Order: sequence, then structure tokens, then C-alpha cells
Amino acid sequence: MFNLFLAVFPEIFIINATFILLIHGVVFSTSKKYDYPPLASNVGWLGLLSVLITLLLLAAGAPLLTIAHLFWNNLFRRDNFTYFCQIFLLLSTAGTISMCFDFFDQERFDAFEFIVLILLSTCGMLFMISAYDLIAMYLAIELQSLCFYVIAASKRKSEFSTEAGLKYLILGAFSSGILLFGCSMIYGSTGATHFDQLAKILTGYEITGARSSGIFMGILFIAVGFLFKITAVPFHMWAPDIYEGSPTPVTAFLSIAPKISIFANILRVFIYGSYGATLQQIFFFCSIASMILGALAAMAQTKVKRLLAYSSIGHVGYICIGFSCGTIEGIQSLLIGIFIYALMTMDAFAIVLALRQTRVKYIADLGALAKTNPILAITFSITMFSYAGIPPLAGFCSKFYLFFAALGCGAYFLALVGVVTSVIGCFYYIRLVKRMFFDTPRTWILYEPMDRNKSLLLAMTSFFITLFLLYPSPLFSVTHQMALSLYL
Amino acid sequence: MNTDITALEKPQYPVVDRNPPFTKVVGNFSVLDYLRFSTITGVSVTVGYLSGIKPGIKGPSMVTGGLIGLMGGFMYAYQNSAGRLMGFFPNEGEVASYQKRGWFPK
Repeated sequence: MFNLFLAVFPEIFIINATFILLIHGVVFSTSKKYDYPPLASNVGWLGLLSVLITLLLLAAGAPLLTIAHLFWNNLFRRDNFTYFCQIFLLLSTAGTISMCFDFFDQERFDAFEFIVLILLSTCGMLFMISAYDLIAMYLAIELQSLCFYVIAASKRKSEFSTEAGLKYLILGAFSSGILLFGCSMIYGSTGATHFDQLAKILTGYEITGARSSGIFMGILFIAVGFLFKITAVPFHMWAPDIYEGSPTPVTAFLSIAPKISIFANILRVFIYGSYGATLQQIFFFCSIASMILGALAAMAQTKVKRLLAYSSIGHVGYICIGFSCGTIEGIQSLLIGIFIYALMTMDAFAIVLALRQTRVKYIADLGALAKTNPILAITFSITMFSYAGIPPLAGFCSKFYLFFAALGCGAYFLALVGVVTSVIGCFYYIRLVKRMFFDTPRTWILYEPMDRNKSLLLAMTSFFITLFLLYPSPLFSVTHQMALSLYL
Repeated sequence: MNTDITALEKPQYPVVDRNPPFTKVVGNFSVLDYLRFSTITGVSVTVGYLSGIKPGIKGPSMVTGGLIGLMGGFMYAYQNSAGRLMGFFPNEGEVASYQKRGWFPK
């Protein structure tokens, strides 16, 4: 019986490590003997260590983790899809935590609870990825979301941060309520919450007539709840304000990690549980709207973080193309898209964090970067070109496969909108490059060298973005395995 | 609770024990398992110590790192040992040892 817990060793470890760190933080941050030390960096390093050990337990125990592939009363499932998504999530979390250390020093941020909440939300996201029941999925989403509401407002002396936290709480709670309402309607109509049972009931089921209106509304509400959380249009309004107001490491984490786990959830619920024309139309519309709005709204932005927020909305639109296809190639391209998007976003936010030291907030403040720090300017340019989808960078590869998948399933209009909005998007990405290399700044800013953690992270992500096209097959074979395990 | 041990992937090596008890798995720890355990614990203690220098809590931070490392190292060693007994990881040593006691792989 004890061996069944082998399936959840990574989750058990990270929960216990989080509690150990919480006790450590509470005891020693309030200790008069040690003169009330600020523990954010200390807990940060131990938190990073915990994430890496969790990754080791997950990666090294791969075949063993499937030992109870349906565990805890069939609420969770372990397969290739869960395995690779969780590895990817933990790598993103480790990258985000490593960006934070300099931020703690620069901003004199001494709340160790920040790292504890990141670890708790990571645990919630690990459960989200393996959730195989509507109830388990909802509980895991709430564990993740509640932590995010708090860390969005973690900079207590900033009104923007408090405003961001409050907005996120209200909108996040609202979207969770809609999601739960959808789950209850599905349960009321079918009597099932388990994805296997839903798949059996809903496969080939034509959603027509009054008797199926409960199922139709349930699927609609669940889809709306998820679309809120991935900041897809028309449920995106909260994203730019919250991304701008939150502390920058929180924004980085918000734009990377939840997208991985929520897309994983969307694929489990909808591809396996209940895919049909209704859902395809919803995601088709949201994909087009997100791509168009992301491209057009970003053009008017003057602040770097708001620009990245709208860019993120646009990229969600591209990623939803893969879902709209509903084919294995579509799912594979979605997974490739998320992976490359996460790495590009980590790269972009690491640079933004490095620039924040010198209070760079507006795009116009980037004017001196190429002259004072040319390597950073080149790295930022490569990231922007990758976002724009210019070959031979990784961003081009992800968009290429997404559009290819759309063409393969006959969604020609989707692919056309994607290409046109990519071209429009090039404008604001290349505008940043122009600002860095060709514009004379209004005021010269002296850029301080960044810390070792960020420079290592930037080196790794830039290396991947630049050279991915030379050897893309490992990612393709992994994502193909993940897509197949969803259908089998 | 689903108490059925049926893995999604079949064991690739001979199965010594499909569902070994806790004491058997811990008793089966090899030299490499103890080495993994001690390495993870050592690294964690070091990280704890180094990260505790700046805030001035070297000792307590070392202990916290050590606790995290002990737990992680033990879980990693347990996972490997159980995997060998269940036939998911290479287990020539276990097969040879149990064959001497009159056990034969199925």
C-alpha cells in the first residue's frame, strides 16, 4: 500500500519542503537572537533547491511513477503527458525563482512568504496537470490561484501591487466560480465528474435539444473559466493591469507557469473528455480575437511590461490555434508553442528585471541600451525577433507548426489571420529593436551589470532560442509522445 | 482508494517483488543508493549554509537545508530501490541475490 505513494513522491516532497521552509521562515525571521534577519534570499535558495530535488524525483523515477497510474480513487492520472508537463513546469519554476534573487536585494524585499507561496502554487499546478476528475481539477486550480492572488499583492508599499492583487482576486474568483458552475452543470446532466466517464458519455454525443442544454452550458462555462485564466480574448481585460502592477518576478511567473498547467488541464478536459464542434467554435473565435487584439493593442503601448502582457495575449491566441484543430498535429504544435513561448518569456522577463535596476519602465528608456550594454541589447533583439516569428529563431518554428497544423485540418482562415497578425506584431517588436539601436535617448541611463543567476538563465534561454532550429527533433518527439498519450 | 498496483508501463526487468514492503525496500538499499542519499543531503546542507551567510543564520539554515536534503535523498534512494525490486530499473544484483535464496524470475 505504501508503494502507491511512489506515484506522488514529487508532490509529497515539495509539499513537505514548503512546510519546512515556512516553519524556518516564521521561526527565524521573528528571532531576536538573530536580529530579525530578512530571509527572502535564504528561503529563495532553499526553495530553488527543493524545486530541483522535486525535478530529480520526477525525472529519475519516470517508469515507477506510473505504478498507480490512476491513484486516489481515480482522481489523478500519471502518463507521458503528465510526466513531461510536470518536468517543464518545474524547470519554468526553477528559472523564475533564479530571476528573483537580485530583485530581493534591489527592492529590499524581505517577505520570505513569497517563495513559500510560489512553491505551494507549483504544487497546485503539479496536481492540476495530473487531475483526472472535475473536483480534483478545481481544487488544484484553487490551490494555485489563491497563492497567486497573494503574491500579486506582495509588494505592500506599492498601490499598483495592491490594486493588481485585488483585481486578480476578484476576476480570478469570478472565473473560478464560472468554472465550478460549469462543472456542476456537467455533473447535474451526466452524473459524472471523472474524465473517463465523461468521455464515454460525451463521445459522439450531439449537443442539440433541450435535454442537452445542461451539458452545452456546462462545457461553455468550463471553457469560459479556462479562457479567463489563460487571458484569452474577450476575457483578457485583467491581464495588462495585473501584469503591470505586480512585482516583475510575479509577472514573469504569472505569464509562464499557469499557462502550462491550465493548457494541460484544457487538453485533458476537452480533448479527452468532451471535444466537439461547440468547443472548437469557441476556441476558434477566441484564438482569432486574441491574435488580432494582441497585435493591435500592443502597438499603442509605451510601457515594456504592458507590451509584454499584450504580446502574451497574442501568443495565447496562436497557441489556441493548436487546440482549435483538434488533431494530434494540432496538440503537438500547441505543446511546442507553449514550450517555446515559456522560454522566450523567461528570457524577456529576465532582461526586463535586469533593466529594472536602472528604473527602466518605458520603451523610450531603452534608447541607450545598444551603446552602453550591447550584449544585452543583442539578446533582447533576438528575443523580440523570436516573438515576432522571424526565422531561423525558435518563435518562427512554433508559429510555423501551429499554422501548418491549422492548414492540415482545413482551418485556412485561422492560419491566414495568424500570418497577418504576426506581420502586424513585427511592428512593435522591431520598434523595440529600433529604439535600442538607432534612437538617441532623451536621458542617458547607466546600466548596471546583471547578477550571475540572470546571466546564466539568459545564456541558456538565448542559446535555445537561437539554435533550436538546428536540432528540433527531441522536442518534436517528446511533444508527439505527449499528444499520443492524450488520445490513447 | 485504488490499491491496485498496475503500472502503465510494464516492468522491463525481472520482477523480484511486485509490491515490496517498506522494510524490504529500505533493506535493499545499495551502496549507490546510500551515495545518492548522502550526496543530496550534503549538497542541501551546503546550499543551506551558503545561503545563510548573508542574513547571519548559517547554522539554522544549514539544518533546514539538511532536513530538506535528508527527506529528498531518502525519497530518491527509496524510489531507486523500490524500482529495482519491482523490475523498473536494472536489477542484476537483486536478481542474483534472490536467486541464491531459491527465487527465480517469472
